[in-house]
Amino acid sequence: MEHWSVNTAAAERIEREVLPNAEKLNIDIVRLSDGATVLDMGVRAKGGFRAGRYFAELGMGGLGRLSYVMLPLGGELVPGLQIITECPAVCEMASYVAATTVSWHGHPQVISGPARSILGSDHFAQAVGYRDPNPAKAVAGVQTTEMPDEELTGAICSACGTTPDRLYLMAARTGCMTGAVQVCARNVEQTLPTLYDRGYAMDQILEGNATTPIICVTDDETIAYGRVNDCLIYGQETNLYVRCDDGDITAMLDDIPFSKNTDIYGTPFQELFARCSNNWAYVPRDWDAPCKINFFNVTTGSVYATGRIGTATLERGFWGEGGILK
Amino acid sequence: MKLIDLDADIRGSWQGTLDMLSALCGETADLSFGCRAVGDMKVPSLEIRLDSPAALTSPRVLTSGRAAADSWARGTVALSRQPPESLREDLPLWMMRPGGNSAILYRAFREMVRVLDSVRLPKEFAWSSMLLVPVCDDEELTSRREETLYRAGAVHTVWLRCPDDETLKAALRSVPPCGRLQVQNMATANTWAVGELDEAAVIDACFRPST
Repeated sequence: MEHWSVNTAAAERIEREVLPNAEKLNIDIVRLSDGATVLDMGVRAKGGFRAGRYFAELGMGGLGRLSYVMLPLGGELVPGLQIITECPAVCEMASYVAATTVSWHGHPQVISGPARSILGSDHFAQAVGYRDPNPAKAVAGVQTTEMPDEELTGAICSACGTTPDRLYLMAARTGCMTGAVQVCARNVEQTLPTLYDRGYAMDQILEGNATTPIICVTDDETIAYGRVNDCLIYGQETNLYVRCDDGDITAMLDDIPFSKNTDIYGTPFQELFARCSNNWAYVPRDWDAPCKINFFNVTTGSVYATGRIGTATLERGFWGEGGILK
Repeated sequence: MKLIDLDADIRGSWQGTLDMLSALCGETADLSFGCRAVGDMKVPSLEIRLDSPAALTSPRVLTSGRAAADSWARGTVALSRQPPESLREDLPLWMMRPGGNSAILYRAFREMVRVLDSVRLPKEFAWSSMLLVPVCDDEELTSRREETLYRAGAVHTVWLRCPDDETLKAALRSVPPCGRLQVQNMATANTWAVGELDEAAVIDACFRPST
């Protein structure tokens, strides 16, 4: 099969669909002095549903699709999204996972997207054999409240093995529509590293799809960060179609979902994160866990499910201090 | 003038109508068909997401009633086989039968715009989920069913910035019945809602199997 370049697929789509329509997409295009192109999808720019879809689909290197769907939450219908990928290991582990860390203004900045696959230098990229060596253009994404500058693009290029003049960098803060969408789209993405950490081979996963409610879009970055993570740990449900021995699934089933953290289950992520000084370095690895996962074993026909939706926590995040007016 | 027979003398398509709605929104909307559970049935819906709701304003009514013609900023829509009078030459005219699927989709879209207009606050984003009535030769029956679905089955979600929730709540209380309207205040991170979904009314109007 001809090599699929996740970077080329994303870059060509940017040039074909995003750059010519940036104004309609509420996206600002900023060219830095080093030649890098920043796509402001929600730092200063407004962004939106379509910018969010592009952030996610470009981040997945053309190997995943995002659809918007209304999802039930208690007795309500709330906005949500669905991700479908027929190539989850490359789409997520090599591309969309936010796992490569660079230093920016003296602080760690995590990046995601196809650029990670050029060198495949981070832990999760190394879970798969796929590499995208020397693409003509590279695409990366950052979740940030600050507009990217040459220091950041330089650091990304050094870490990923490209040059600024070849880089498209997507950027959005968490507290905007684009930010909420691109984080909630990390449903299959959140599940795979959890399985990898438990020794499950990524090439056993044939296809994946998942839904996540989008319960909150707010300007307050701290609240937004908490609630989009609530969407994942309390709201996402992933279906994985796998080929393996049933024992490979049952051996890890109880250890996968976030609900295994019985001592803190139900606590909003904003509060959990505050307990960790708002620093991922102090967040227990088991707290970054998927909510509900269903395995469909193609080899045996067996079906396994683990985890549960945290409806009460999601409802609190959806309403805040609001409610239904009589 | 570009005249498009969407569903007048030729049989229209759902996708063609979606393309028309996209054009009316200036290609700034994200449109799709969805599926909603109503009782034990799965019913199609029109899902409309707007990144710039302010850019979409209600049309000027050229003629009202079932054979309506509406003049939008980006074209005219006529629920008739006859073009309305006094059309702008530089904008397209879409024509469709009032009883066809294209008209059902169009009227659901127009209802969404009406509801958004009734929320008298600046809006950042919007998502309306409109259940679609089954197409039927009886136009009066279709019209009654549409009224029921708009008031008992539509879900509108709006994101906006309002410095205080009391102003938002007052604005919501003045919105006419439109199904469930839920508004997320991006300034306060609170969601307020008015209206209820009435599944029994929706089933009675449209989806109760004939015995």
